[in-house]
Amino acid sequence: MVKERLAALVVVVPIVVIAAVVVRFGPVTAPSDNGPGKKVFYLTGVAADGVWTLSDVNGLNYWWKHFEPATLHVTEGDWVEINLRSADLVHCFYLPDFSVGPVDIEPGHSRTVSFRASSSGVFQYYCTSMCGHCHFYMRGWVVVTPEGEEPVEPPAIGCPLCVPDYGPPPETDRLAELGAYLYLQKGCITCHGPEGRGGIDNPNSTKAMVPDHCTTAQKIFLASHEDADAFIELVQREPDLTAIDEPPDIERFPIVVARFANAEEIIRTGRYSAKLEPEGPEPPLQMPAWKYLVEEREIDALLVYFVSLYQWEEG
Amino acid sequence: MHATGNMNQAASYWPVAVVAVVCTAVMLVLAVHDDVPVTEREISIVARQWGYEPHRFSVNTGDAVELSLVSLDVVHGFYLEGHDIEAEIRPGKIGFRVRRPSTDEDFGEVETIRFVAGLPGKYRYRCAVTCGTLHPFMQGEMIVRPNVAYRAGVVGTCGVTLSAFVVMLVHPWRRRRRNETGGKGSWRADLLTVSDRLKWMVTRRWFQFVVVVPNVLILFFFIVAGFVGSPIGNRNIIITVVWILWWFLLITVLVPLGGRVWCMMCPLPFFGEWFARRRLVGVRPGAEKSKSLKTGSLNRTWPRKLSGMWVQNILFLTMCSVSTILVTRPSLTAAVLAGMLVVAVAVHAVFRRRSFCRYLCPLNAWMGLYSMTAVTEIRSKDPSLCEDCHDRSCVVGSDGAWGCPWLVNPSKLDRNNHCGLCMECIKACPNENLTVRARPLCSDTLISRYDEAWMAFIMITLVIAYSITLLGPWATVKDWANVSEVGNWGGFAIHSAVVWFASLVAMPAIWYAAAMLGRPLAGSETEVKTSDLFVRYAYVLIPLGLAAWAAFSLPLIMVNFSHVTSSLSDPLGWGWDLFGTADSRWSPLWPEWIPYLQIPLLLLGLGAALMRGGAIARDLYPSRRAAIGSLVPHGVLCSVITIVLLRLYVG
Repeated sequence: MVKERLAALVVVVPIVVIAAVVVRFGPVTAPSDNGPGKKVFYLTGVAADGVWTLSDVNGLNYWWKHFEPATLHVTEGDWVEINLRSADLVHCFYLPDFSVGPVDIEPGHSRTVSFRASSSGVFQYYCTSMCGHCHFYMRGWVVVTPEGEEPVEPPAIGCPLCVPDYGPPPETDRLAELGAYLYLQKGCITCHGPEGRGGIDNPNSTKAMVPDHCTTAQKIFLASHEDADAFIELVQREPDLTAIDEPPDIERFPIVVARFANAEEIIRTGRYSAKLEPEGPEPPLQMPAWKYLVEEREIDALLVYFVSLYQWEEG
Repeated sequence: MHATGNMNQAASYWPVAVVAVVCTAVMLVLAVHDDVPVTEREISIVARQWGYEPHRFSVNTGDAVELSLVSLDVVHGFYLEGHDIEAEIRPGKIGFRVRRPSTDEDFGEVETIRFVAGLPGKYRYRCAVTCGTLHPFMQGEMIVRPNVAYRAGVVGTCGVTLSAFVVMLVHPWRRRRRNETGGKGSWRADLLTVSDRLKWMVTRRWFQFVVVVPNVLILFFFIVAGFVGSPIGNRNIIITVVWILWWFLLITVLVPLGGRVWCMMCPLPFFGEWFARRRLVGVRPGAEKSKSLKTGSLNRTWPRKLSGMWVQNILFLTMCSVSTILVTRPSLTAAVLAGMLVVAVAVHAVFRRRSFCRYLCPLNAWMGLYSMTAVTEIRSKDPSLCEDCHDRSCVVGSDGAWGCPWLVNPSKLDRNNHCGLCMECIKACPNENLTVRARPLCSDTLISRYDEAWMAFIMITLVIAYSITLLGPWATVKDWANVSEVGNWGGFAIHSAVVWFASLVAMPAIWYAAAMLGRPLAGSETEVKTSDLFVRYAYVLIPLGLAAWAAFSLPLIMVNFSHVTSSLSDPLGWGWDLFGTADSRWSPLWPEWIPYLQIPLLLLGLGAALMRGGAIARDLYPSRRAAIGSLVPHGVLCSVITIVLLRLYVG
């Protein structure tokens, strides 16, 4: 029986040791190594939900849990350390206001970034490498509060694309309706604002904000409401505007066509947002090249939608 | 321990090998003179989760290829075998980043890469950046024409088939006794008399405990890792070690060398057996008479109706239908292994001995079948001694050993199929009449049951199915198999239905048709039933299947080996670095040479299959002409299967 007991110990003791080691050195999911003036965070990128999350993402919960984007609360003057890892594929972490990143986070390789929270305010961090359906919603807040003040709670960021009843594409041949759908579905709305109204900050870019789209009609030199309607009908009818022999009754038609083609080209190949301060951080929001991600006719649809958004003044 | 018997057995393989080599050489020479015009080509490849479009393209050797790469969804990689090109493709970007893996330099931004198509053959391009669940299987194929290797393989297949039949025709005719063991015909070497140390070891009571316990602890750690570790398969040790390393070693080393030696060290029934025996090392006489859980186990007999291999065949097929998901999700693998552990405890509590292993374990069926090829066996030294033995310790147990846990009579073993190599019978036998012997490959040749034949059909069909789903370039098929993420249940239904139909109906039907053709070809001197031909010749699928599985596993281990080393350093994907290999780059081991290992493996398997078929034919028919005639349809079918596999691997 001594032998049996010994053998049982040989089995049970290592099992307990393995469990203890895993628990002791397990992933730290809540800020832990916080000292005076130091905050440590552990963020995991999850593509399926389009979030950087503070939750522990493991083999088990990855498949069913909905992860929330992290809001990082720190006190002004804190030394902030963020440990980053990915739960699925390559993400890229970027916190432009503190010149953190952009740093690629490959699965299986954790990276640590750190910065001094030198100014108070609410700052956005991003994923700047396209990581799937919810990529454009993969953002969150760093809230830096002065010592002794109540922290503000920034607006929640949620990805509407993850809602199951978001719906299939509209069954219509109207380009403007298709464009309205694509504008949401492809994530354009995250940077260019609801209904193309713009107003989204792009720190340190020459334009300060991401261009709006509700003024596209004006930008392509359409003169009037009637011209805009005629132009929309024309694009609806004629996929290739350069092939038109007889110019329709639209003012400055050749210029409109050229500007339209120019806008299409920006969607196709993307555009670099130049830096305002040459020494400053790279602007986080860059127009991607959509050439392979949307079809030619879908580009037409988006532009037609933009044209239709313009608020024409009566008279 | 060298061959003592007849050398004809060994000698008869030589002509096969010679013809194969000659055919290959001739083909290589012919191919060199094959003139292909050299041109310039522009190829644009689009990557998505998890495949490339085009999934396959052909160029001529020496062509200057200009390649541009685009990604549609997430960051992908592009590693072109044999051309020293590795790229990283980001969606939403014109242009991509590229580097030469042979140098250490970092990626450089480019719009296109130019390279000259190298030696003729098949080169795969694979994803090099972890891009989601099916990342390790994301690949496409570049054919550099003329595809000499494939032609050589096909000619080699025909050569091996022809020469095998020629050998059967001219080889001295010797009718074998039914499933002969030892003595004349083929050599056996008693390993326990050769090595005293081995004999001392296997007769120790602690022997099995010592080999199992490390695996129990490893399994426990793996299950923990699967649940709490990283959800990424290639960063979680349960996936990398179980499905990359263990699977490869099982197919290429453990089964051919040791038969069911894995069953000796398998941790899954450990707790069940412990609780039922109430002993880890020692023996508790009378334990198996217990009819109560309080004293171990109810010790019921497994229901007769469920005692064939059909239950396991179906369980195995079910597992294989979801295997694409299983082998890429750490938590699912952990759940399946933990589930088997729990079921084993329950089955041990109710039923006798290793009923779980014998009748439920999904791996048992094929492990048993393929162990027939193994070069080791446990047999009685002198069967006549066993006939006079009234002690029957090997069956019922003794003071120093348990009765055979595998519910067989060790003294009457004539096949490896149900022997789990636990070494209890060797300890039990009062006459020391049971021993471990070495023998030639594929010595057991007797399949006489339909369930076993069907397992052979299932396994050969599955290796083809996996080669298409996992190793093929078709992203759509991968989407179908990866249903839990993609959600295409219709596609999944098609995929599963094809796999089930092919293995349970189509393959057996073709096999039966061959048997119907074989019977008249044998002439009318001796009547062998079609069903006998059908079942007995099913054996030839076993050497062929083993070779095919080995060929299938080669790219898995050679391409993904660096995942194993990196996850040894960081088993849970938590950023540990135990041995300094956690951050190492993914780098496949000589992937461009994989086809040149697969071709000889398949040809060897085919040769062994046909020669063993010849032995079975000799057993069935008295005359040479009838025997050979009856084998022709199945022989041709084996070469067709080989060519199908060659087509998938090198064509």
